Amino acid sequence: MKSLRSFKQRWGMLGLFAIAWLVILGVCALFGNLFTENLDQDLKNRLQAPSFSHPFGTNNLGVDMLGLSIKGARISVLVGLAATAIGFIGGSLVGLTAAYWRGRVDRVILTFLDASAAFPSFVASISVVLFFGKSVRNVILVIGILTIPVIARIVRAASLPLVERDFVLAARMQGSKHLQIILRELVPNVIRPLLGFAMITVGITISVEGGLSFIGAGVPDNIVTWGQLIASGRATVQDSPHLVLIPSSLIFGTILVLNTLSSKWQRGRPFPIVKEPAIESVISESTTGIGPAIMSSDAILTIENLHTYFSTPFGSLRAVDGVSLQLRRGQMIALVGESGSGKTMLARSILGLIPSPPRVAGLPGAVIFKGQDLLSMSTDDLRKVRGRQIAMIFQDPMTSLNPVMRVGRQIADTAVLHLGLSKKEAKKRALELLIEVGVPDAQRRMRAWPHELSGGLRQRIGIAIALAAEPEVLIADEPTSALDVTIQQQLLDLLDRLRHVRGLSVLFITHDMGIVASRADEVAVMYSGRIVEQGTTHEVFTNPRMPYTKALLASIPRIDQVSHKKLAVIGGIPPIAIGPRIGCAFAPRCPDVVDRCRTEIPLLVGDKHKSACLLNVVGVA
Amino acid sequence: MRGLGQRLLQMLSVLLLVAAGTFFLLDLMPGNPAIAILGTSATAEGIAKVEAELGLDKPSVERFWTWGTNAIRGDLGVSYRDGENVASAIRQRFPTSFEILILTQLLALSIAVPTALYAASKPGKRRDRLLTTTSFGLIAIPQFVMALTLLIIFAKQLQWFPAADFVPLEEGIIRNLRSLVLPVLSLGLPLSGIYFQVLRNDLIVTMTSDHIMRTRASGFSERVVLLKYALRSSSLTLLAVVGLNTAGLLGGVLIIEQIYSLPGLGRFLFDAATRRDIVKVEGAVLVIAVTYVAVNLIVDILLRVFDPRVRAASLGTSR
Repeated sequence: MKSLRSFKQRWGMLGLFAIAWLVILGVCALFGNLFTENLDQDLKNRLQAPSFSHPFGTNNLGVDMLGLSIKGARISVLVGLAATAIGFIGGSLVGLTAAYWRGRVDRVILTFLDASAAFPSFVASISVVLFFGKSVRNVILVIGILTIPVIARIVRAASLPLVERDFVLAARMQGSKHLQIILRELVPNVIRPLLGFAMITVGITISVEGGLSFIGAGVPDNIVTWGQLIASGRATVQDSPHLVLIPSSLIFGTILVLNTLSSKWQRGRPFPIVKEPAIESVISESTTGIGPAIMSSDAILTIENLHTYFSTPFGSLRAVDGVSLQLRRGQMIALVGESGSGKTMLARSILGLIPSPPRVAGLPGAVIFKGQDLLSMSTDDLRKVRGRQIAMIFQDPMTSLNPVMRVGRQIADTAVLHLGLSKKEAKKRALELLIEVGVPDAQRRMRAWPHELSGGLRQRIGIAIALAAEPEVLIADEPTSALDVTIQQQLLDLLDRLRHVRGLSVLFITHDMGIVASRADEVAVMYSGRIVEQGTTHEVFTNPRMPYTKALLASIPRIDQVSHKKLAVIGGIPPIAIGPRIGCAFAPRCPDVVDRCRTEIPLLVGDKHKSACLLNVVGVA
Repeated sequence: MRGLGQRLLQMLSVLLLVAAGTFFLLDLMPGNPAIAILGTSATAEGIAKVEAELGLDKPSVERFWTWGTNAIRGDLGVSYRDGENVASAIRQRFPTSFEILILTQLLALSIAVPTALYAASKPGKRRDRLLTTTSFGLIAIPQFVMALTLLIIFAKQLQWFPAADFVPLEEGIIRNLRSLVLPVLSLGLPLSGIYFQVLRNDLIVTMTSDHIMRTRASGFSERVVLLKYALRSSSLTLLAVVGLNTAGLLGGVLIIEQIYSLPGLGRFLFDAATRRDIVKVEGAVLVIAVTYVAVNLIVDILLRVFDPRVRAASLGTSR
């Protein structure tokens, strides 16, 4: 019973129906001939509509259509499977060859594939069958060969990106045999999507056989297939439409079933939505974590006890778990943490950029911007804040610009949206911004496409877009991580300059303690969705309290150290924040861990320099 | 544009491959046209005379060269079978087939684009699930099943549309369109399911991309994000798929042409092939291939205009 339920969860109702259909079809195809060897003609009961004794009715000779349908399943399925097999073997050979050797081989094969697409292959196959004689074997061969180019295209497209992957290149370097590489490295990686496509192909080939038989160029007349049944029912379609409609529905149903299964198969294991287990208990615990919020008058952005959870099959994932933070006018706060610590999710939560679901709704927290809570705003109002008052710079400048729009337009669009400028004014403004962010030859670059620019230049464009509507707050999500060190420094200098010239407040998110040292006013260290240490940059750097902060500091490469000395790397991996929080999240990796750490949750305490570590409270360290 | 030149060259080789492939394959097939003309009782002398008249005594490469150079000038030769001028015979059939091709693509796109946008605006919600399931259903219907079902319902039972009375365009556009409603529906509905899925899936991937996230963070509404920013890049994938469907719709709709008695290229090709009318087969295949190449060249140019990445890729700057 339980296994049936999990089975249903995996495939869904539709999937179960599909599997049942296939099983019945398989049984009919394998054993149907035992019952349908001799179907009797009954000329008195010709062309009868479906009834109790003949659920599918009878045909023009009075033969039972149910029996014929079962009999027809055998050859229809055989043709489908055999033709698909031919198509896949041939198509895989051609596709893998093209993808693996590339270059000239690939071009020649592609030309052939193109030619086959330009060729009216259906009519060709009819002529071939008629020429060589109607037989099941010929039909299978023709449909199979017709399928080869289609499969070859797909196999080629699926394996091309793999060929350049490291593991394949590595195998090539080692001098493995080509065949071995293809079989060991390529085939296992493309097989899954291909099997999904194979299911669809079986359906298509069954329908092509139907088409051939319908035209009169399919299997011989004495062999029953669904297509044959449709063709012979056509003459009497006016009065007995069931003779056409029943085998038609059989083909239709089979294709539908195969397509459904294929899409479920390709999507892999579907994520069932799990009901949220008692959030309240989690909240009551978390709320105690807020320190006394200092409402200073020059605060521009105040984050209060923010929670962002995601629903997953295994329970709620606590990406942001009760974070409070205050950004003052003109201030720059660096939010530091490993990837997976929740910093990006925090940044996106501020502007309400995470849809719900998967975000769990109804959790406590507020983001106060100029006295208004962004989280309780309507989407329309929130959009007037996004970009206009709080703007973001994204991590990867390669992907965060629209690839099919000129960069000048992308900057201008934001100015038009928020400042109500005319197109011409916006263009002028975009040009000014490009000059301001230090893009050389700005006039010409206005018309550049993103892919024509280097990573550094693209990120400058990203900054220009963020500045286009004169925001007051800038959230920079690892803006330099994807760039090399020299460019990094240039961009950081630019951000510094802009901050001072424009009086921007900046929330700077990074995993690299090193680059914030000289620039940020304050540092907040994030771990497993929570802030674990916070204070002025000077305080945190000279007097770190939390062992995690110490480890982060120790991992900064330093010029004054011997270069081959190993960097201090924190062992272990960040925890997956699912399930109830028990103890300090860093405890499993902490070098100074004591027993209490595993059971008690440390609160973020302190006045100017806060930390969440039991060792500091008790003073054991 | 060097990339385009390269593409042009590739397309030309496609044409050559199709034309030569068809020519030599047909040449290999047994059956002497001279015998076909003269009947089985023909004398060896007579056969030789006819062969010489038709140029069949020359080597096949030379004959292909003659045929090809004539074809470039628009002369597709004369049928050995019935003496019909192939080019003018095809010229009679081509408009109908081309009209069906255009109408079908238009119908499929005008169904697929709005519904895909609607589904992609709320992925995974009821509207999306409903439309996606429907599209799966449409794709699963074989052409001939669709055609017969529509015929039974709308032509035989309801009698809203003619069953098999094709009216050419010259005899009035309204009547012409009326006679094409059912065939175009039979072809366009399943196709719209495919286009829907292509566009919807692409849109949903695009909507989760970084640059769309950035557009949202800049304060653009979901509507603008979807219609202006996401559709722009996703429609390019669809455009390429539309181009690939050309040949199939032009010469491969034999079943539809038969069910609705349409004088199209598919039936022309079928008739010629079953009667071993080699010259007609060659001509029809060539015309279909030329149309395919032309349409895909247009698609290619459009892609170049709208997608700077394609341009870059063909120039070899990226990768």
